[in-house]
Amino acid sequence: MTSFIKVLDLGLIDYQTAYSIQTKVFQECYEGKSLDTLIIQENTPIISLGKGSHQEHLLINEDELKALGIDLVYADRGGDITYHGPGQLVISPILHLKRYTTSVHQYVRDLEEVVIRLLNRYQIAGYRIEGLSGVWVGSDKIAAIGIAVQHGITRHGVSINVNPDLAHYDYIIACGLKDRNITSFNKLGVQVNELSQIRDDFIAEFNQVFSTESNQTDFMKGDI
Amino acid sequence: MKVDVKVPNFAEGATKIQIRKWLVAEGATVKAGDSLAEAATDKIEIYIEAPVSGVLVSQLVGEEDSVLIDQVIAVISDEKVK
Repeated sequence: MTSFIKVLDLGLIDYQTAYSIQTKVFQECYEGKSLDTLIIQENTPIISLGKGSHQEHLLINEDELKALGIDLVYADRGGDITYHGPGQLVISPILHLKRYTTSVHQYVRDLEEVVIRLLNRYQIAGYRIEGLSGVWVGSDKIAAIGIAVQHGITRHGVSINVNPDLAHYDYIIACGLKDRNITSFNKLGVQVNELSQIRDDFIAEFNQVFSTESNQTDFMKGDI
Repeated sequence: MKVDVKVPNFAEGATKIQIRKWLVAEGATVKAGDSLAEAATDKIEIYIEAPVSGVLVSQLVGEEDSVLIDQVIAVISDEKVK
């Protein structure tokens, strides 16, 4: 059965404001005041430490980061350290988990499937590596996943590197994986002029994998 | 009546689930749906909730302990608090 969902595009937005919006949408979903929602955003530069982070995976101190114009946040999601910034699409599905899938692990596999299908549209061969979440191309990671489940509803989600400044990953050991590199559409030679193109393709594949339907995309620029 | 708090079955498929942090102390009053503990498995943060309102009379596992699906991790007494 097809479920209707909302799509909310926050555009380029700082992490903390986006997090406030995510919290508000989550609460509205929990109280039954809102449809399940895909929140889509592009963050200003930020390094995010998940609940499973190891401080030693941050390779410079907070003052140095600030001088570089990169913020630091301790996020209430699973997973280790990661980077978000312009040119990276971040999708946070706020979903009643059991309406769509059987378990949190299947949910992560389904999110990976959406990204793999999205990459296929651009002739990029993405795949999973057993024991490691996310989507990989060759030996490099192109999409990272970190989620939380509260009241049976998902928060946080997946980030996809389209054309971010990959040099910003030099300041961290991304996801705590020392021997793995990060890649992007751009690094793989796929030029994408508008992030909205990737957004629309992601939504189309999401609707296929999760049997959902979204009629329109709402836009919000930090106004909560 | 005493009610068991279990690791939710939506965490199924996890190879290892670890209690990261208790959010509510023994003896505290809780409402149904309150988050009692944070648990983690790889990239997933799971909040384990109170199935009923009452008093959290005992925590049966400690922080950093590994747990299984459906394992009882705490007990709530749903008798009226005086």
